Amino acid sequence: MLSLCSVVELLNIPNYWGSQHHRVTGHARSEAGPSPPIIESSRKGATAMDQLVGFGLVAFSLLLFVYYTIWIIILPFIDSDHGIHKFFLPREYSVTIPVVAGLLLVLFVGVFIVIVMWKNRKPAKTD
Amino acid sequence: MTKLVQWLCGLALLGTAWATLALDPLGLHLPLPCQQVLWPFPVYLLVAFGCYSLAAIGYRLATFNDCEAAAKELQEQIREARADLSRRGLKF
Repeated sequence: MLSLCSVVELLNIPNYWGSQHHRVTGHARSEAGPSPPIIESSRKGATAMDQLVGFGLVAFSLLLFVYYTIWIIILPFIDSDHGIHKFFLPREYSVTIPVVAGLLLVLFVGVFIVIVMWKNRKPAKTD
Repeated sequence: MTKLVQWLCGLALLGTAWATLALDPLGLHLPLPCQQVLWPFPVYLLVAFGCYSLAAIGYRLATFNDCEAAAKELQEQIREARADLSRRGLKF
């Protein structure tokens, strides 16, 4: 069975990164088959859901960065009887919360890898 | 020198600079607010880098555009390949 790659090389189809023109072959297209299952959106870009999620991520990370910057860098220079201190947790949490979150992330990634590898294990063949 | 060794050297340099200022082996006493800022500084850099990564991923997700010409060209090539393969006897 010929592989698609070797057939493509034989036909000398240029890859679409190049700027060459197609050589239109003369045979009939009646057996072109069903169109490939590529979902085409009517928009010329990311869907509304993609944009929502994307800009939501941007806004969330910006918020997180601003809160964390004020907490770590600006608060020590403000007098301890100012009202702003009640919006921020005690300073010890500024280290423990990211460290714990990082460890949880590593835990989830590890569990995910274990699950995927467990599902894809093949029983040993006795050939 | 490989890239890994370069990065490790840079990190070691920054680490020793931080340790010298924070653990105070030389006995020079910085003002208290500066000490309080300095202690969580590595964690702050990590969190800042994480926020930047998240924002970059979100922004590129939101502004990703279709490549119409490339998609059409690719589908054209798929059709040609299918036609040629079925001509040569491969069953789809």
